[in-house]
Amino acid sequence: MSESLRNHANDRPASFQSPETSEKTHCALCGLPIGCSGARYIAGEEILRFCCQGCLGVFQILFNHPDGVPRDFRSTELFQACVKSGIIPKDEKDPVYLRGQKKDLDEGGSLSPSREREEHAQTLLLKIDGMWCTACAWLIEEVLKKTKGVVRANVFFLSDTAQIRYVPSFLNPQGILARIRSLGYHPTRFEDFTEGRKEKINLLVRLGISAFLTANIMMISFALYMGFLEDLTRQGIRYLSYPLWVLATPVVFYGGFPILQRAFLALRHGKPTMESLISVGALSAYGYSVLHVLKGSLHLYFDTASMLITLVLLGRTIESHAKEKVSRGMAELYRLAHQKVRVLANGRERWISADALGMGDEFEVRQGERVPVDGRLVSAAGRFDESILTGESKPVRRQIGEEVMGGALLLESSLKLAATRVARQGSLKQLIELMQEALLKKNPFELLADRLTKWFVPAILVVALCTLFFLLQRGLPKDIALLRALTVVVVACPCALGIASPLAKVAAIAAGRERGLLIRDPSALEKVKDLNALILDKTGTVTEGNFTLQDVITAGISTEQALRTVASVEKHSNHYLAKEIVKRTHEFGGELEECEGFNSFEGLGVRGRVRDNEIAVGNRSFMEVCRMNVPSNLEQHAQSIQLQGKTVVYFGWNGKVYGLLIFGDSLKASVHEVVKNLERKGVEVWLVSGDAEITTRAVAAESGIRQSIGEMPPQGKVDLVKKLQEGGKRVGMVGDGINDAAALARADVGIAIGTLMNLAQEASDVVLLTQDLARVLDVFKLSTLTVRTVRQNLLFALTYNGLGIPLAVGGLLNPVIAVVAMFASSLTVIGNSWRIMPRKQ
Amino acid sequence: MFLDLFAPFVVGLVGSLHCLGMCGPLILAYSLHLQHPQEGHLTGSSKVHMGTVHHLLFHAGRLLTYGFLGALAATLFYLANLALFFKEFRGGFTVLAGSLMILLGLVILKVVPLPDLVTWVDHGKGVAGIRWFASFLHSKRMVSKVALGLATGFLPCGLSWAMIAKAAATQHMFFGFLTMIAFGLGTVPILLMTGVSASFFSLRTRVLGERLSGLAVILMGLILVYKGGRVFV
Repeated sequence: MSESLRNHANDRPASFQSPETSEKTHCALCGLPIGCSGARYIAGEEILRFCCQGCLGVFQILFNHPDGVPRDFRSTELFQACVKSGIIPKDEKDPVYLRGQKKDLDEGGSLSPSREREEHAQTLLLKIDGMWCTACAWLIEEVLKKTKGVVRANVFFLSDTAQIRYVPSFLNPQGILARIRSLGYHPTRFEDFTEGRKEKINLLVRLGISAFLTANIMMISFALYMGFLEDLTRQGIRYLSYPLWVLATPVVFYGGFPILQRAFLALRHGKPTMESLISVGALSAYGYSVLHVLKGSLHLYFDTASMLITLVLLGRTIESHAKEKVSRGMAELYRLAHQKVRVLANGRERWISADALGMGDEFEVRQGERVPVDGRLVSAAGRFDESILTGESKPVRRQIGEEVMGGALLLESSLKLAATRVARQGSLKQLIELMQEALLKKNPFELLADRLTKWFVPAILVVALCTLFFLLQRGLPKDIALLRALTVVVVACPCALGIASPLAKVAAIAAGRERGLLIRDPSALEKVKDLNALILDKTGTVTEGNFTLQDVITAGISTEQALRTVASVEKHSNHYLAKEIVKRTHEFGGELEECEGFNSFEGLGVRGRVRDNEIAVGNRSFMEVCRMNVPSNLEQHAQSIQLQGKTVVYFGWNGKVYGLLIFGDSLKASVHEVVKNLERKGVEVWLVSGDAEITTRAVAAESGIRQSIGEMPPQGKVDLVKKLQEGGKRVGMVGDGINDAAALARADVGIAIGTLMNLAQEASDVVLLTQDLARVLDVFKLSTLTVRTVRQNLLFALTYNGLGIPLAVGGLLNPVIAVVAMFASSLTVIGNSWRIMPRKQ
Repeated sequence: MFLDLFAPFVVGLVGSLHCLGMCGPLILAYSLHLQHPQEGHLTGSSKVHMGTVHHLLFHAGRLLTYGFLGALAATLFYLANLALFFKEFRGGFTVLAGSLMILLGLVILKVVPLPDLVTWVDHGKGVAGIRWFASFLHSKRMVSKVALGLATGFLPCGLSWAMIAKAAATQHMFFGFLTMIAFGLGTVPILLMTGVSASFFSLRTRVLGERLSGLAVILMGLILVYKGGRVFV
């Protein structure tokens, strides 16, 4: 054969493909992996490998030619037909997965996320109903990932949400929805809520019918069992067994349809799920019983099959109900983030989508409505209920010029606001994104659990089969062996184990949100309860952060001139002190001058040139750096003021300090309590600040904090964290995020205390959405509760499964009890996790 | 008894996902010839009718071959067993069959390659057999499909060889025949709907089917070894 081929060695046909690595590992005919089979065929210059002799043989037969197989066999009609029908996959990267669906999704496998595609990708957030366990979420994720146009897909079972990044030119949202629907689930975009209802009602109807029929089946079965003792005639048996069959059929096939459908669809993708187990169980029981009815025997298990289905439906209904409570908060938030905005144009009202609103555009909000996007109050002051964001139901009053976060409820009259942030970057959106991120983060244990789940279902089936064999060998009657194997199948369901940890996590996140805590990293939350050192930033954390300029001390120039000069430089700074200075200057009508060469130095001060003078404004260290001489009387004054806990800012030019600006800040109300509480827990509390040492110490004394360090640059905070960690402590840091980012990241747990802007840029694990320091205690409480709940959940889940399997093999359980046990375990875990949620106050 | 026939059936069912890849193209090949557009004198209904009958005949032929091979193997083992006639070795052939199955199961799982001797044998019959085969592919007569089916049954396929080993273990002509028929019946449903099945089952599922059938074969082999071994203990 090879002789004749050598004649063609020199000419290459058009369709010749050089063998890629993929073809070396997959059979050229059937596409299955070759493994270590040695079957191969040389077609021209190509070495074709096959998975077995059979495939090689068929290949030779089909693409037969007097001189051997032609090199262009891939262009024969037969080959093309095989590829089209899916028998021969196109190539390794392009395997046949879901054909026969919408054409535009079918061109091939997944999109490799090249960089350009990432840039064009858009995110779609969906709510998916009908996911019954983590395997469902996993299946959807895998199928979506293989769909052309999808760059990344994350499906989270516990909150029933999915986050999909897709490239719009390849795929539109409808296509994604259709694909998920083809798997048997109900996806909706967050805006339309009616869909979810329909699915729920559907489920309830099935449950109702199944329950009713099952009740009847139980009654008749009971009669049958009793009749067993009375030696029924053949007629008698028939009177009872056929009705049972008739009643059981709708339960298994109508009531159980969603379960069977899921199992079937999962089989199609080669991924077994819980539904596969239940289906195997129910169908085996049903099938076995049908055979026996026809044989005229009394060993019927219709009651088992229908109870199985009914209990599964019941369990799922309860589970979805419980899940809904936990995830409802997020859906609400999402809805809020996508409202319409009322815009006044030429005196007429117009509603536009929030996304269409630009920065600075004005919009109106009326009483009882929620603010759709972040905005600055323009027309009047107002009272808002910000509980959905901060957890505090006490109304907050905001003045003109103050910023209000999207989502706040306006309590009285109507107001005009100017948008400060485009909807896409708005606080609500950020909040949702961060929450989603938090939900998607998986700690190592969960990742392991995910990997185990993949193997669990096949493993259970194998165990059940072994049980069957083992029991049959032991000589047990067939139906008892079958029953026990069935019980093993049912009781081994690891539903509870899979949700033990994640559900507690979700509950913690939801509970946190209700209290105004944004948990960004749940694993960090678990660390909180073990913290034994907490570093508090001074300004904004322990103190209110609203510095007012209380006094100006000058040496040699007037107050007004001093302020004017300083403000001219500070005008360019974003620091809150700078803003205060500028504000005050405006108040007395001082005019600002041109400033050139502005430079700001973090933790030190600012510098700029006004009228050829190099002005420096900052703290004591900055003055030394700028080589400004501080007159001794000013120095003394500064010190005495700082002892009162106030902040002193020096300013000067031409090598001399010309005066001081004195800022006062007030301590937050709850600080003392909080510190006492923390110390009682055994947490070492530190106070740090970039402010003067004396000021810091004074504030520390007032708050009851024993350790304090002042004049600390941002790097110093990181060093402190490191030092404490090296000393063996578990360190937490509470700061306002702006210049504490590095320290927050370095600490074991970084807690940022509420700022309106740029939540996402903070390097923190937990964000307190209010200014109330007492929430830190809530974080500790939540952490303790969560860890305890997770441990309890795992214990429950393991007990059920661990005890269940040996009991099932030993015959002490029957399938019905096994189903009850399985759901009891899931519900125990759910109920236990629910305890984390606070009661309505 | 029931289990002895049920198991091959199930193996056929699960393993047919793999057979899809191998026999599928073959079936598609002759189907294409059946549907050749130049068939002017066929009306719509009879075309369908013709197609279905052809398929059924093909499978019937295939099953007959399987049955024949099973009966043959069983008879051979029986005769060999008689000839050796050692009391202690009565379970011997069962153990042999079981070991063969385990080996074949490992081959199916692609963990162990087929020994080269076997490969060489095939290449030998290659050329002549191929031409003979091809003629049956092209023909539209019903008989040709039966012949095609008969020939296909002889195609070397790890799975069918494993089941032949199982048939051999029965050492009874009729049961050997039945075992293979049961196996063949298991493979029919999926192959009957080749086109539909191919698009329906993902590659991953097919690999899974192949692996499961390999495992099932190994399991059955182990059971046979155990059964045969018990005689010694």
